[in-house]
Amino acid sequence: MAAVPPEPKLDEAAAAFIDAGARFVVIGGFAVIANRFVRATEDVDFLVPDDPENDRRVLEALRKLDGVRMRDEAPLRDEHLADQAHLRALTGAGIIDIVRGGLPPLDFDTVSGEAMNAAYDGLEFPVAGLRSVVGFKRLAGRPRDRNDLIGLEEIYGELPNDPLPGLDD
Amino acid sequence: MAARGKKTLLEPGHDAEWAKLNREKRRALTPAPDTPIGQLLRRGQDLSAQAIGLLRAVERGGGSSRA
Repeated sequence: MAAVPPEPKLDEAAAAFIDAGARFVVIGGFAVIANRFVRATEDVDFLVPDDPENDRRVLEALRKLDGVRMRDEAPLRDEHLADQAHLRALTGAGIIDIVRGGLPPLDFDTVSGEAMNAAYDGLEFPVAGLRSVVGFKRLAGRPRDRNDLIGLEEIYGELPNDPLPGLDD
Repeated sequence: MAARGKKTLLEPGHDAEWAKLNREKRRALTPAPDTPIGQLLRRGQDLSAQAIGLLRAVERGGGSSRA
């Protein structure tokens, strides 16, 4: 069995993206935690816009983190992200999933506009807010996602429930 | 800017792709059976500390939506 990847380091990953000038929003398990339902997560998930220039910056950030494409440990190349919906990189800051924004309300601009701000010492970055997290979780629908929704509902009461294209129509 | 549909997994109909990605991640993150308990506990402790750090960072950042 291969060695377990390094544990995720959200602040290091975010710092590399900011240094590279890449736009992103934290989604996934860390966004659930930021919305006060604290549970384990072992990777970093970043939502990115559909923007070739931003893709270039994302790859620059991943390379600075010694990233390789996880599935074959290939050095990162432009085509690994260009016109792709997803890229999983194994980096010194753990596994980083790059996820392309979806259709509204899960598009990059909407999620970014509703994001919270995480402020570390000398470092600030956006983390998906409750509406977006609920949308992502409803769409994914795995047992863990349903558990996240139950946990969030226990904290916030009735959750925001924006219609999702293809799911609610 | 919204994605052009064909370029996102964030829409219904990609269950098989997500299942494959989730399997890959689960395989990678499952520790070897002989991993020392102390090492697992340290990893859990580090992740918990990071979660608390994120909660504090969100509180410092205002703790609410930017919208």
